[in-house]
Amino acid sequence: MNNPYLGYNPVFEQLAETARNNSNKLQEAAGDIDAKETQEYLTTIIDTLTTNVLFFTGTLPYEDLVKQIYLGALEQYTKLGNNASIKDLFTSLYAIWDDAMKKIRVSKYKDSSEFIKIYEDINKAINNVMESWAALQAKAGNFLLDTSLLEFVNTRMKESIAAAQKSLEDAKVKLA
Amino acid sequence: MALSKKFIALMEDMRRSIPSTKSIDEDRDERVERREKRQRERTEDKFSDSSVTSKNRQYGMESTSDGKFKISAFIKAVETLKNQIIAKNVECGNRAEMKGTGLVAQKYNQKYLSLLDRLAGLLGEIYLRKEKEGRNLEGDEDAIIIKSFRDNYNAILTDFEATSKSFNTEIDIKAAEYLKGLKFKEITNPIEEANKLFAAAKIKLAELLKAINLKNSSNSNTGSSGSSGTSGDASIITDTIKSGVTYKKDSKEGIVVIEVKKAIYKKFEKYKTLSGSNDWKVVYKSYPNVSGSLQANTEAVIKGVKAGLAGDYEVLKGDTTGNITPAFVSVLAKVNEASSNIPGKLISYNDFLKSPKLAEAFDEAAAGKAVSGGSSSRSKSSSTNPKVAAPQFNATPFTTDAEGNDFRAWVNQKHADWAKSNNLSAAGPKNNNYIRKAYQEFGEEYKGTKAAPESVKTEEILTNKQMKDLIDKASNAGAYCSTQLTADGDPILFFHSKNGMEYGHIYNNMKTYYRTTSGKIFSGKYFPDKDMVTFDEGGKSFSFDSVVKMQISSNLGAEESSSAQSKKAYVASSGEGYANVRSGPFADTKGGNQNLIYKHDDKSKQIGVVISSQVTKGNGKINDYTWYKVQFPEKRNNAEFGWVRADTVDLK
Repeated sequence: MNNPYLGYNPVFEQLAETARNNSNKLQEAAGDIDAKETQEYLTTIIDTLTTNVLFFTGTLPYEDLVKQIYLGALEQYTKLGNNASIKDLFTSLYAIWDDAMKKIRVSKYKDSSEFIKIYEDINKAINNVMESWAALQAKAGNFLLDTSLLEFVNTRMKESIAAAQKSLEDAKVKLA
Repeated sequence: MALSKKFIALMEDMRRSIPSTKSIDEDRDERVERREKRQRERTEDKFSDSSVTSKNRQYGMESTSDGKFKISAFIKAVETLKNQIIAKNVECGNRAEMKGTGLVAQKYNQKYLSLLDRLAGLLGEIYLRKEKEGRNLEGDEDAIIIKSFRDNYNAILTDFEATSKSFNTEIDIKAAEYLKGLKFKEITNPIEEANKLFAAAKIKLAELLKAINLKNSSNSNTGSSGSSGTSGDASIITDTIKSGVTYKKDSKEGIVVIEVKKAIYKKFEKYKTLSGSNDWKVVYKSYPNVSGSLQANTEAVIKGVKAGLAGDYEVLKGDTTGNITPAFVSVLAKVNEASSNIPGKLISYNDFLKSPKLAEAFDEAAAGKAVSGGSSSRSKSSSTNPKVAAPQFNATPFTTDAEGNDFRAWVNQKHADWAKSNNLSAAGPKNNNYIRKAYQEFGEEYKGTKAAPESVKTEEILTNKQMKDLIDKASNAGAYCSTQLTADGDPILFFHSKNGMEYGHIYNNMKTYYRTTSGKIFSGKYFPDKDMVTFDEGGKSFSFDSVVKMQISSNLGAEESSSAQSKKAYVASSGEGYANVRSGPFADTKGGNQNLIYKHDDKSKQIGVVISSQVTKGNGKINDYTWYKVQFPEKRNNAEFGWVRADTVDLK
């Protein structure tokens, strides 16, 4: 025990030992990845996820599905600039896609095998990106809890939302 | 949140711009009234068109469903195309700040905006016309307007497809390169897998959109809701559908087989040598219900049609298969239906999307021979040459809209009647079909005038035919190549290495670009008379074949050892923006960058002075590369010397 004011407590000692071990494991898991690299990988994963979720919900081949899914997805997307944690962001992003897939699977086009197959493949790809996120979590450990990284991610998301907004504004100007 | 409110307001605007959404809010009574009016009109049309036979009615080919150009169906197609372009534009915006793909996205952002610009013009005209004329346009009175709509739509669609194709290719390559540079493979491998799936899905999605549109455009009772449309001469399908297979009716292939069968019925039923054959009767025994089967009877009918058309369509000569090839579908779309030449008949949306070829000569004897043969005479695919979707008119040489407008103004002044009858406005795009047609007509005359700018007088442009020959030549030489189109619809020869890491383009003005794996781009010009490409850097010349087969990478950026010595090496001005400096003349990347001394990314500072060079032979997968040994101005990670690949640096 480091605290001289507390007596020896075997239960507490055991807990402290476990915590120390876990902490070491987290450091080992992080291996030689550093904070800067964590940020780089995280950015790549988030960018891949956001770009493809927005694109594939926007290019559905049936106009009624686009209206039903894309506009809702965009609306959800605009709310992702202030996340309480990075994990929350991934949960929300995945929920947008998952919701789209659910609507696709029960839509009147559910029996069009070609269309459904394409979107199930895209679903696989989205899950691959989520796998990548899981791998980063295992590798980076505590780095992902850094508040400055969360701040960076939130800023990045705000920029991404602003970029999408600008694209739509540009489109609106052209179509006016 | 202000941002979100603004965003939602924008989306609301988008919602409002979609006509079918608008209709939801409309008064129900009004809609019911309109529906009844439409029904009345249909009934009147049915009985007023004496040219429609009872047989046609039986098959659902009444003039109301097949004899009019429906504005609402057309608007739907244009709106869906609009959605596609917006989605791509949003993708560009999203990718703009991404590592690896950011620069590509920024480059294409403007291209998509320019497509939207053109689409907005078209939409404006259509809505105006809809308000003025109602639901349909009359074929004889509105032929010019319909043609103008058709040309515009097809041109935008073709450009969109070509732009998206090259955008996707560049994005995929850049993303793969970027991920390759990251060391933790357990994190990047799933993303690489995902990117492959995303890329494949984009291709399949584009094909599905085409197939859906093909289906809808022939199903004129419901109009078209597809976005892609049959783009004039451009092929509806990109891959050959092999005979000898029964395809599921809702598969992509099945949809095409069914629509091809229907198209054949409509267009060739009048030829008794075909329609009287047993094969025909089996295939069409339950018409309009046809299956996705591409077995012996259908094969025989397709062979018959090909044989009958081969005399008129060069592209079908030598194709004795029952396969549905892109070329065959393209030809099929051009052939007129029996009814389409009836004077005064209304033009259907289906016809509208086609590029009509009047007066084809169908060789019934040849067709009959093929059908009666009936046997499977399958041969290998007739050609592996790249497909060229050549525009109707050659490109103009104008490099700016201002030059194009000068020419437009000149034609409007000198040939006012022609300009009026051919809808050539005094201002507009520098390279659309109208100005191309005008340039074909008056280009030579214009070149001789004072009004023509110097660039027009001197620039030489390869014709579409010459470009096609060039692409065939590259293909025959064994190059990995294909045709791409510029945003203006001009064919480009695109060539690449087997793994796609190196690639290049030759444009119809013979400008040539060659990109090595380092990202460094070399520009030059192809000289047809010498069959050589001369590059700007160092004036090096290489044979056309060696360029398109990507065999010049090791020599292109490298200077002779004697001239390279003592020069300072800097990071190449084009390329990825960095150079890997290694401890030997090779890249040892097993398990990370093993022999990397450091990555030099400061373009303003020299890497070092060249003291020697060496060519490292590739192993089949990796090309030969020239390496320079450089002496650092100061020690780098304890090393005094290092090696850089010649194509990643500039020597000064």
